Amino acid sequence: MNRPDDKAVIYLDHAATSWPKPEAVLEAMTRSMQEEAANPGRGAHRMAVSAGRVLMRTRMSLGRLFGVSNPNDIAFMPNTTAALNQAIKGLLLPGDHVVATMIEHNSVRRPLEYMRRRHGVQVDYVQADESGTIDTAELSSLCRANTRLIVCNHSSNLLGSILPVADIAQIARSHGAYLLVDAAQSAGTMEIDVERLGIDLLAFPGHKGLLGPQGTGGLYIRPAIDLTPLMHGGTGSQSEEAEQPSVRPDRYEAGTPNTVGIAGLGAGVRHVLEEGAAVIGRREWELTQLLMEQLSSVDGLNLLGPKLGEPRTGIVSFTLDGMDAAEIAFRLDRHYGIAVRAGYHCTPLAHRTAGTTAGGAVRSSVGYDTTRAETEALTEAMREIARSV
Amino acid sequence: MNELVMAFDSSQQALRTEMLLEDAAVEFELVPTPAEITAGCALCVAFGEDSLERVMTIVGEESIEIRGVFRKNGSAYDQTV
Repeated sequence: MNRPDDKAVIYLDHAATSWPKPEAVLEAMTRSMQEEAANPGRGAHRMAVSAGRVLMRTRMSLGRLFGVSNPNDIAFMPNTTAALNQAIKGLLLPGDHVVATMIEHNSVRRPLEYMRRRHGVQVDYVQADESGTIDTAELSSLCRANTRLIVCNHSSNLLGSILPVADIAQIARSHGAYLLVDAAQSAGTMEIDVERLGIDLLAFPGHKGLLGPQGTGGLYIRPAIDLTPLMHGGTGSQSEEAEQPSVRPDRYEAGTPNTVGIAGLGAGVRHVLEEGAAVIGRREWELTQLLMEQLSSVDGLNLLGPKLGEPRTGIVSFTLDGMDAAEIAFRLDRHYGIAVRAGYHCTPLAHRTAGTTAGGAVRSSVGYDTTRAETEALTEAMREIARSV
Repeated sequence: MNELVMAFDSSQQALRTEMLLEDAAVEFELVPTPAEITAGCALCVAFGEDSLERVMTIVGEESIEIRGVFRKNGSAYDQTV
């Protein structure tokens, strides 16, 4: 089969990690490594200060993107998982109650279940329907006097469905609880203004929609919230004190940061700011609609998640009657050069919701540079695979 | 003459101040923290007396956390803010 363009691979796994990155990201990382990758915040020599500026510039760009007025309320983390762990384990105390949804990633579910087992935290999960939406009234009814936190994804990593974060924030506020949002699948492709949406804690990846490298991500922490740091150690500040500093962002950034990665993340975020997250998201949505229309004509193929015409992020997951998801993904890769993800996508509860616990699902996901030709190539490949069942 | 020194507990707070003062076209210098000031981080922002009010307004509006503002007094530094 002819590849639709000169890319070596048809990459439809942006929900796991976006690829390729904009040229500016590669350039920023090379420049950082060559010219300014000393240890930021440690020492006052020019290169160390220059490295510190890289961090601050990226923080400021992230602040602009997420409507955060003080960039020091954003702490860099190695990934969304670290950010979610910091938020969950740094906030909850024995006796606290948490409400999450049935379509959370394991990066939310596992820390919550750990806190339940080891620290006497109570957890309830609100049911989601097959298309990945929840009943906010039911969510509200699960809240109690000791509910300290509501955790939800902005968009499901299996179904691409979008949760009504602003409504959920209101529910959290009315119950005196905080809202932690997992923006793994929405940062960079949906407008996120933490003030406007009422988000208290926002965990986000650097390597997906923000187009930065792996090993980057962050956590926005509302100024009024003090989390117990998960990591204690050197910050280059208040070195005479035995206690972890209270000053932000140092409080949450012990240890040498990923300066080169954060330089790349900064370039990725600036790319998103120039294009506009909503514009990128709209383009990706149009591609998902096209892909869904095409795939729905393949015999035996079942699309998951929101129906055609409804909002979703760039994820199109599906199953094929008579063939395991893993086998489909293997054939797509080996015979057609198409990279997708198969299996359970770290979200077993969502599979239970979608009824795909037995064979898993194939997840294709488009990105900022995906072309129509690439989605057509996936459809053609699926047509051939379906004929072979 | 930059007779005042603003000290911080985090170099990111210092570097944010640097960028805000640059944007506001305030004259300042990034200097190493004098040993006499027990500050949390190695970088200070030095500026003239006549800029103090402007700098304090910016720092207040932008929620910058500072250790204090110090004036050189012989071999010592007196905290003024």
